[in-house]
Amino acid sequence: MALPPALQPPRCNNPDCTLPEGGRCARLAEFPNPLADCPDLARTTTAPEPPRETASLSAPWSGRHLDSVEVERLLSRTPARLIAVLGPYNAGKTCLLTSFFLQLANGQRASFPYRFASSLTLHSFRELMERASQWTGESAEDIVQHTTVGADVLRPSSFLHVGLRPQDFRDERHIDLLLTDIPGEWVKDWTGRVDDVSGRRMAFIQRCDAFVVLADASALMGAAGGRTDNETSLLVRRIQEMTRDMRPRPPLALVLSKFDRVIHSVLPPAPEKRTERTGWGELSNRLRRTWLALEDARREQMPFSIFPVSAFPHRMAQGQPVGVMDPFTYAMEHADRRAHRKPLHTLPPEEARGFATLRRWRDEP
Amino acid sequence: MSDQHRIALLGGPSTGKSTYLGALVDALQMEKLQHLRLAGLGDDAVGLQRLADPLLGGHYPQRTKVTERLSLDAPLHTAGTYFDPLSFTLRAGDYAGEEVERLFRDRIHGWSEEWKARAFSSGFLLLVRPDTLTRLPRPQPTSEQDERERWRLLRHEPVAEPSSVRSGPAPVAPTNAAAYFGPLPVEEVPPTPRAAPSDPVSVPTALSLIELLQFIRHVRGLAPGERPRAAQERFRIALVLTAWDTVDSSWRQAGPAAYLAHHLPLLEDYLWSNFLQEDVFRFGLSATGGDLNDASYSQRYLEDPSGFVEWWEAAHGPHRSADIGMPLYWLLFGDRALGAP
Repeated sequence: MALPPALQPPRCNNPDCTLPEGGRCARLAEFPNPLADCPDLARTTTAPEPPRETASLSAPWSGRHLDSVEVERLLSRTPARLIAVLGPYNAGKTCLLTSFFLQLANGQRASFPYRFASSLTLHSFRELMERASQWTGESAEDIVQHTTVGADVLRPSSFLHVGLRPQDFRDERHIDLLLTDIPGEWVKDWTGRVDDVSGRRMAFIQRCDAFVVLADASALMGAAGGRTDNETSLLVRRIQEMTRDMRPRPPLALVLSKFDRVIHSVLPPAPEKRTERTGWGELSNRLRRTWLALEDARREQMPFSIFPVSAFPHRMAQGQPVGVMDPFTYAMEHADRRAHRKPLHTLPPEEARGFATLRRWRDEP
Repeated sequence: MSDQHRIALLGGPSTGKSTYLGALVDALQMEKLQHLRLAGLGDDAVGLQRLADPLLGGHYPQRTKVTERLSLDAPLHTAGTYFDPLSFTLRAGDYAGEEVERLFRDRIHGWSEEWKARAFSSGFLLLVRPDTLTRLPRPQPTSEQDERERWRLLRHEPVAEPSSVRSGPAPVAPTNAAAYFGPLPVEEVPPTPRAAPSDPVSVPTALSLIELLQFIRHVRGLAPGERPRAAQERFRIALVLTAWDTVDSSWRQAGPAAYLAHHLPLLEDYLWSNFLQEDVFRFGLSATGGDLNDASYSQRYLEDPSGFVEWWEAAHGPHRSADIGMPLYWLLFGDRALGAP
């Protein structure tokens, strides 16, 4: 008697499922015994099976973070802008990204001159926003979950996507904006040493159009502030080094995050004075190493600016964030820089009705 | 124009899809639609038979279950002289609103052949129910405080009284375009005002609808951000705010466009970015004219079933019609429908 074909490890088509890696079934609520019942789970045998027909029922995209291959595809297809959001563990990178999308979604673009046009990662954005909406306001509590990048180490899912349209109606472009959402540990490893692993993880750096570097303002003002200053300055220097051959040099926006926690000690200077060290009071002493790194960067033609930001100064129900859009406005000013022709200032004659005037003008011999 | 018009109703749970279809069916049978008439029963008259049933009993339809979905499949012709003579079959399917949400969460099984076929509809009625939106109405001009003042507020320092504290009417749609160009049927959507520091930040409620529209555009071969211009690519979207009778009167005066700009800015941005202005229009609809859960109104409705539609035009200001077919006319005939008697 022939033996039945050997069972293979299960595979799952659901991107949220980690059961095959020893984790949890994404549809556990529906199927308490997922190994036996979950239709997403495919346990193949060595005998070939007819292909499953789920493909035709699958949505065109997953809505989750994009992986490096998807990003590569997008970058080769469109002139997408890539902004690296970098900083050590717990600096508030994902909070900043969540708050940025919330501001877009709430119509609070402020100086950001683009309107929402599309997103391939709406599902991820919603998960982040829903998690943030549950935050009780306790500073010890995580506002969003710390970033992990999925089970696939070769294709980590670490990019969020927003499609933008310039708010000038005549500008017909659709701009794909990719934002990195990577663990602070990766940034730390890469800052310390660029080896095979960290270099591969951070390969996107060479393609970045702008950098948003976060430093936790409350940590800077704390007892171990020197450590945060050191980490930040080294990160700035690493970016400076890795972008030395890029022309034009991508800009760097230094975000002093969680600023609401230091606002009683430091009032941010006016926007035009933010790159002057003297404007930051007590914080300028706490950022000594970082200032030196930034001044070095400036000497190498790398533009930078500094932004105080409070992405979640209170529970979402209690009020608005402050300064969230500014670093993105600054980054996009550089990343989306293009020559603009001067508009024609042809004034229509008095009492003219616009469309009729244009028609007559065109008909003239 | 082709002899078949498939109109897709899009909307999440409890947005009033079945109620609107039921009221439309009843209005067709009672010849209450000014410009459309039934031209027979067609092969499948089950929708005509059953969609209006609950309303004829003076109550709202139960939420649609997956196994009980009905569709309106009605041969129609135009009535009167306002629109050119046209005979066609109107197909509009109902479905459980939870499907939209399921499609957002479950990407593996949700995108059925039925949805793909629906994506090629000739027009879309996008139903949104105001009382399901989480963002609180803010019918007053909001603050223009600069960033520095906001930081001072976080320090609990006194700052100048913002203008937002004063109450006032809901914002009105601007009329400057009409003043310059003359009457234009295209409505102007006012920008969302800047929030006051203490305004809540809300998780947007229309993400699943936006994702659905993205899928629909993808199936139709439209790139993100591409405003369809060729005749064969264009399709109309009527954004319908249902239960419009329950909306605060100041917002009703401001019009559906102003309401949506304040309450669903992400959806408004999405539509602005992806469609020509003339392919999107916004209506406030009360399919039953009042609340059927109110026994006395339910009784009145049984005696005289009626609803109304309101909209705002840049050139002519607010409009109201007792003809609940107006969103349908607009999908079928475009801006000319807005001048229909």
